Amino acid sequence: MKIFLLFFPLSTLLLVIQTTLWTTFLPQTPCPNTTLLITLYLGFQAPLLCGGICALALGFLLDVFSGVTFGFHGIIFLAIFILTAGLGRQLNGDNTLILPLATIIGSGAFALMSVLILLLFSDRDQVWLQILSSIPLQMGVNLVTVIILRPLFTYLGSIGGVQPVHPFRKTL
Amino acid sequence: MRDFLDLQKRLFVLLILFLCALLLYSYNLRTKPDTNLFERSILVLTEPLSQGVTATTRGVISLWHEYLDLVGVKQENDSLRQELKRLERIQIHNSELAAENTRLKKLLDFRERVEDQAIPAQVISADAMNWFRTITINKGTDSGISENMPVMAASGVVGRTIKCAANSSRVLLITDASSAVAALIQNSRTRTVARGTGSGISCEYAARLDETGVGDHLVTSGTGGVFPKGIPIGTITNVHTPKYGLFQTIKAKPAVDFSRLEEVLVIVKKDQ
Repeated sequence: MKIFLLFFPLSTLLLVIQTTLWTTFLPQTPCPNTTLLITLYLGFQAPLLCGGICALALGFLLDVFSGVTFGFHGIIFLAIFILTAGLGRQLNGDNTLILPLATIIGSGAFALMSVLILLLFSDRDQVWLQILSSIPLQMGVNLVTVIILRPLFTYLGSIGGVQPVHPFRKTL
Repeated sequence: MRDFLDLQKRLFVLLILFLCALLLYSYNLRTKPDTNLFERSILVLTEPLSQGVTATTRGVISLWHEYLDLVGVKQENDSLRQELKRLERIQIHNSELAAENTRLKKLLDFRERVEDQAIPAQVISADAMNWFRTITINKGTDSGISENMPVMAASGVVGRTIKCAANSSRVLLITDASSAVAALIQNSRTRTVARGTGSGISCEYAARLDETGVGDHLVTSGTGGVFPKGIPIGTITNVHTPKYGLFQTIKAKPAVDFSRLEEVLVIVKKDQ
């Protein structure tokens, strides 16, 4: 609950900043996907159930800030959280390179899942080309952003009582 | 063993959550677009913050531009005076045409077109995702705005409202890939559907044999039920007419410069 109360307002604030300031000063540069970065961080650090609910809520939040049918990002973020929690926790969560590496892989996975869901549900049939072509730049922007925001995530995580999950830890 | 079962239980709950999310998305796709309580709450809570940040940013930018504009302001003033005189002449000519049009309409016993109410609004934020094209405006249900209302700028069609809260609404731009507007190519009167491509517009179902040229204007046809007739959508930039087939491939540039969009008008029909 504490994690949710800390990361949900943070994500809301970051979304407000990126939809107002970023688009005014850097209109041609893709916005960083800060909600995805928080989800990835939670995937490594947060308890399974609480983190999953938080990831779902973050997805719904992003749906409000983007012109997509409600529920779209909820599915993707929950899937990314489960994958990160399942696979990423085999790695050492203390390693500073883990989150940047996960950001690169997560950005690609996010784009591919978006394309897959859009194609399957036929919400937007022409946007897939745009999504795929934006992957490299989006990865770069997300990578720079995660390096900047990582200390903030760690600080909030420590307030929220999360601890890095070490390999072969018995409880999640 | 106990830890393993506990983990399995949590994974099962997550799986249920995932299925619920999938069902929710599927349900929302099939039903009429509406703004739910969660969306409404977030829009209401973040609207003052968005508006505050946007207003402050615009104030700073405007101050900077005013300073820069001082350079060569007299020269610009002179050219604007010339432009004003030219526009005054055009306005007089247009007034004459309007008066003539009114007379002819009366003569032919045409019904007077219902004048719709236009609500001015300010753009307060853009889309959080790079591949969707929406904006948020600072007017909502309190001003009489609801979903599926046309949104215009001085130069043409902007889009339509898709989510509305008390004091803010999200507008789907005509360049979004899910946007489709019933359109008409002004010169040839060819009927088409102006669909967003993310960066521009592509015209679908334009008959191959109809003559269409680069530079032709694209206007709303009024048949889609959302936009009134005759509003500029864009200008044709590319036409490809295949030797065979039913339709030609047409690309168009939007009439509105979305990167500089600050004020819009939401059109509320009188019966709404």
